[in-house]
This record gives sequence, C-alpha cells and structure tokens, in this order.
Amino acid sequence: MIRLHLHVDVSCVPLFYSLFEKGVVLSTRTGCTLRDFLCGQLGLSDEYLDQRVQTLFLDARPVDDVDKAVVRDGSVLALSAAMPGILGATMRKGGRYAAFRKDISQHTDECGICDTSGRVTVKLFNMVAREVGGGLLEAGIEVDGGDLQRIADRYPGKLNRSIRSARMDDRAITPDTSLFSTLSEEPLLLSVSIAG
Amino acid sequence: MDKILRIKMSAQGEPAVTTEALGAYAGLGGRAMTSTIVAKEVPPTCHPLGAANKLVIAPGLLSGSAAAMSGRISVGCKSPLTGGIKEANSGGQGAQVMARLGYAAIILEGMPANDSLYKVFINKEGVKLESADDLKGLGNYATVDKLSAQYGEKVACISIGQAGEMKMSAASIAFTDMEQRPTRHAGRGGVGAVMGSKGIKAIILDDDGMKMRKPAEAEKFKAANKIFVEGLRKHPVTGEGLPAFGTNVLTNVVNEAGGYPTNNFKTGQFAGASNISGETQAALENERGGEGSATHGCHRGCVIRCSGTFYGKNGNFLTKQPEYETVWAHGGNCGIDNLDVIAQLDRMDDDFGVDTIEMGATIGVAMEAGLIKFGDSQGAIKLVQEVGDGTPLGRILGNGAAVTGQCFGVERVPVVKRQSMPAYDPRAVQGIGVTYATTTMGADHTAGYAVATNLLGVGGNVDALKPEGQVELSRNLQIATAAIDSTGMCLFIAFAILDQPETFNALVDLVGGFIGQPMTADDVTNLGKSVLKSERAFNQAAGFTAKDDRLPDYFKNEALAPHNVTFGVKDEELDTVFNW
Repeated sequence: MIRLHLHVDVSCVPLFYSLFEKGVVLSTRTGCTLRDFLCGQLGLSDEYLDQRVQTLFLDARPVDDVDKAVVRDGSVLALSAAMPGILGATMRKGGRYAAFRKDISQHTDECGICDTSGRVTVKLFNMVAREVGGGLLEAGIEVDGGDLQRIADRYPGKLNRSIRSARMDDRAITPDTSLFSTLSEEPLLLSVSIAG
Repeated sequence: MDKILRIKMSAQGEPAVTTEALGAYAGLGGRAMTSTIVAKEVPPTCHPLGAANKLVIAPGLLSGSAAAMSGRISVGCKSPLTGGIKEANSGGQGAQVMARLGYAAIILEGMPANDSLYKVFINKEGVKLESADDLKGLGNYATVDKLSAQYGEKVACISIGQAGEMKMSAASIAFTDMEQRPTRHAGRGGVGAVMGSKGIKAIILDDDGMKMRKPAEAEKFKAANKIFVEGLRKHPVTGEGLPAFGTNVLTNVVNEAGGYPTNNFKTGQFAGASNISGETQAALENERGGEGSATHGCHRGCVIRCSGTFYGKNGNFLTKQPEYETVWAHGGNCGIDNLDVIAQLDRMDDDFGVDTIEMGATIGVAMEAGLIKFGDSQGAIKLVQEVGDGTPLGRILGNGAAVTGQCFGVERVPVVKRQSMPAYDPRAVQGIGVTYATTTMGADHTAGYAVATNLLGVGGNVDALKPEGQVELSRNLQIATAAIDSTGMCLFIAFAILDQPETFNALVDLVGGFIGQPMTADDVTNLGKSVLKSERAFNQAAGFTAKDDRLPDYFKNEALAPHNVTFGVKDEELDTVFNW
C-alpha cells in the first residue's frame, strides 16, 4: 500500500473530514470492547466517549453499552454526537426510546473478548468528525485514492495552496495538481500533519 | 389574541368578513385551536373540497410574544389527502405577525360562487378582501414578489401556488420567512387544496403599529426566557448540530442504522448517502454563500437556526436549505445523490406549493411504476414540472403517492391513511412505525416527536426495554406532541429540555409567566389527550376504523436489508395505543 503523507496548513484539514463519512480503515488490535478500542487505542477520553459520542453504531447496529460491544476484524464502527428529534432520541446510546429500535440494536456479543488484530472501518459524523478526525488523520488512515481525488477535484485551488510538503513512501514529492489523479486507483495509507 | 376572523366565501354577493370573540375557543392555540374548531364545526363526512369544510389557521399560545422558539403556526381542516382530520404545522413569520394582530384563528369557510381568486389583507385597521385574479396561475415566489411590491417588504404572506389552485391533494400552504421568501410550508395532507377550494390565493399580514404580546408576569417571563435561551444554546443538538448542519445531519445516522428508505422503501441503506449528507450540504452552502450560510432561523425569535440558505452553482439564491425529509424524499428514496438536483426539486416544490415528502414519495412510486428509472435526476425534475403545469400526468402525481400507485398498478405504496411515510423505515425503527400507523394524521413522524415525555409528565415511567414499551412510548409521544403543537413552540426544543433540567424548568416558567398560571404535568397531559380525543372522534365519524391504523401489509412480509427485519408490532398492540 502506498504511504502518502501531507504536511498542510491547518485551514485545509476540514477538507479531509468527508473521508470519514464513507469510512476509513485502521489496522488495529481487535477482539476488545468498544471502550478499549476508542479510548485505549484511538485516544478518546472516557468523558468524551460517555458524554459527547451519544450515538454509536457497530456493524449498523445502535450500541447501548460500550463496555459490552466487541470490535472484531471487519467491524464497521460509526460515531456521532447527539442527534435531533425522535430519531436522535431513538438511536441514542442507552436512551429512553431504545425500544423503538430494539429489532436492530447491538446484541450481546457471545464470543466475548479475545486479543487479536484486524482491520476496522471507522466512520465519523458531524461534530465528532471535526473533533476526532484530526487525530486520526495524523496517526494515519487507509483510504481509497478515488476519495482523495474527489476532494482534490472539489477544492483544487484550496488544497494545492495548503499543502506545504508531501512524501510518498518516505520520498519527498512535489504536491502538484496531478498527484491525486495518479493515485486515484490506489489504496493509500494517508497521514496528514499540520504545518506549525 | 382575543378574536377570531371568519371569512365566509359563500355569502351572497361578495365574501363576508366577520370578527368575533373567542367564546368557547378561549385559551386554545395552535393545534388545539385548529382541531377543536374542525372537530366542532366541520361535518366529518363532508367533501374536503366542498363548502362544508373549513380551513383554520392558528398561531400557538405563545406566538407573537418574546418567547424564544414560539413562531410555529398550525393549519387545520378535513384533509383531501387522508379524508381525516389534519393539522399541518409551519415555521416562518406567519405565527408571530398574526398573533400580534390579535387573531387567535382565521377561519375560511364556504365556497366562492365562481372561480374568482381573492387575497386577504389584514393590518391593525382591519381586514380587506380584494381580487387576486392577477395572481392566478403564479407560483409562490412570483406571488410573493407581487405582494411585496404592493404591500411592502415587511409583511408576512401566506399563499398557495399552482398546486393549491388546482386543488391537488399534495398541495401545501407557504409562509414567508424573515427574508420574505415562501420557503416554509404547512406541507402535509393537502391543506393548500382546501385553501384553493375557498378561492383564497393569499393572506397578507401587516403588524405595523402592533406591539409584541405581553406576558401576564413580565419579570418571571423575562428571567425564564433568558435561561431557556441559554439552555438551547449550550445543548449539543440545539446549540451545535442543528445550527451547523441542519436537520439533514440525520442522513448519515439514519443510513448507518439501516433505516434510510432507499428506492421506494426497498432497502435501508443508500450508497450515495454521504454525497447528500448534512455535512456535505453545509460545506457546499458555506462554500457558495460564505461562512454562515448553513445557519439560519425560519422566524424571528428562533435561536436554534436549523435552516440555511442554498445557493446554486451560479452563486444566486436557489432555495432554503433542504430539510432532511426533503433530501431523503427526492434523494435516497429516488436513488438520486446530487444536492443541486435535490435543491432544484425543493425550489420547485416550494414554488408550485406541494409537500416535499409527499412529492418525493410519489416520484419514488412513479419510478417503481417504471415511468422513469431510479436515479434519473432530470426525469424527476420533469415529473415535478408536470405537477406545476397541471398536465394530466401532473394531476395524477400532484394528488400523491396513493393515487399515483393506484393509477399505475403499484402495490408497494408507502402510505398510511393515504399519506406518505417520511424518512424512517418502520421496519428498522418499529416504534416510529407505531406512530405512523396510529396517529390521526396519517403516516407522520412529527406526530410523535416531543421526546421529553417523562419530563413533561406524560405517561409516567415506561420500561423502554420491554416489547410493549413501544406502544406506550408512542402513545406518550403523541400526547406530548399534541400539547407542544398547541403552544407554538418548535418541537426541536424537546432535546434540550429532556437533558437539561434547568432548561425544562425555564420552559415551564416561560409558559406559566406568559399565561399567568403555572403549567403542570397534568395540564400538558390533559391538553394533549383532549386534542387527540377530538381528532380520533372526528376520524371515527368520518368512517375510519382500526383497520386504518395499520401499515401496508408488505411491511410485515418484505424484509428490509441490511438487518432483514419486517414490521412486527401486532395489530392488537396497535389497537391499544389510545387506551388511556
């Protein structure tokens, strides 16, 4: 997999948040609880997880207990802040209206905890994308080159102006307009750091 | 608000305008007002487009005051779409201005002797009824432009577009926003058709010279309002998510849950969801219109500001920020993942004056029928244009999904009481399905929306994890919502008052300070139950039975991906929702 590192102005970091809507892949320890994954590995604080991330999905199922749900190889995890209206109240972690969606809720994982490794897709929505996305970008995420190309197509001037330097597989490269199109068919390990 | 305005269109000669005291309707507002009047004065078996039906427009109890979030208005009648009682709710400036003019309700009744169109101008001097034949055939935007030129830029306008003039069952009533654009709609149930049947094209409200409505206990009211606003601003839903991303912030979440009705309710996830999400929409709006374009209030006094402004590729205003329901209806439900197309459709819906939910569901049924393919953006635009043009196909489509499905032999028509389901699949979120099935309004998500039921003291404590919890929760939500709908308050306050006791207490003091007596939990429950009881009685007299409180059968048989779920709430359970 091609490793692409971009060193950018802070103002262009939000351009990458859309990557998290479709989901990015992390190679990580699996077989652990959601709390272990999010706090122990991704660096979220317990308080942030408990108070801010009000809506979570694991494999499309709303999660009520982050200390019981288990992340496995191939899991798809989505995080969101509190959402409005009856739907927001329904999907809320441990919410009063959880009965409304009991047929799709995350069930107890019978297999339990077991320390393995694997690949997990992480999606971040709304405010959580803004608050957590930067950290994941810095650590490195697997994305589809085509999704990066779409960002470049949408913000050609802004993106190019904001990239101070770039490295591909540890070689310095010129971040010109053709960079993203040449990588559009490739899976990438992308990391983004902020220029001081 | 101490008077009711009646406009009798069937009077000998010209229509007759009378003003009367509130009488038996004293103390009512919003949905309580509209449903009480309709239940009392409209024969349940009348034809919805006939002389015996009435259109009632009523601001909420707190509208026209300085109370934050109090700008909602209710429109009630017998619905030409469902055949039952209808309350359609809207934002915009109408509630504030009408309330300050002192009108607790405007009632349009009778039917004009010919096809003349009228406009009604109301200011502090009184009421004038004038010919509006020069507005015939105009969309809402052109109508408001002309009214603005005549009456000024500060008036609030209530109008119908071509769809209402043609009495289509999906026709809405438009209310102008703070920029005097006809972007807010009482959308559901064909209320625009009833206004059209009365020969009224527009109502113009001018509150120049009128003052804000005063609370009974000014100091208590002012202090409570301050705390209420602080609470709304600091809550993550009302102070962050909704202002930043609008209601369309729900797209990613509903889609992730597998409850996003896609391609006419065929599956629960849409591959193009991230292309039309609230996050993507807000970024696009802010790019095109400048930072802040994705944040906008629909009425003065709104501090949540869940709306926004959508500019086209040319940088010109196109439409208000499409809501979640609109983006879903014209987007995922039709297989379309292009925000510019969806915004264009929203503009057309607002201009022709049709319910965006009904229109999107109807296009979905038309796609199922094979008129156009799922995902055909230009095809969808052409179909909606046919509605505005009143072509024979347009007249079918403009009468909603049930009529369209019937005309084209489609089984999979997602309606209850002939009103289209909104943007949550009831197989994935079965509790919302309970509300769709049983509400007096037809399939309607906002009928059970006021989530702070426990704090409002409605229904006591329910064990949310028990299977029968869904029925009880839906019941309590419907009761609480009926009460909130009567106050003029925006339902989005519910999350902040659910989570923050000080904000809830501030709301209680706000209402109490305004009306001059405390609002208790029993008051809320009794108000909500009273409204629902009137509505249920009307529907029963109109011929509705328990068989109408059901989802279409295919929701029980056709499993929804990705969870492979069917609607499993039993009919016997649905029949207990209104047991209290």
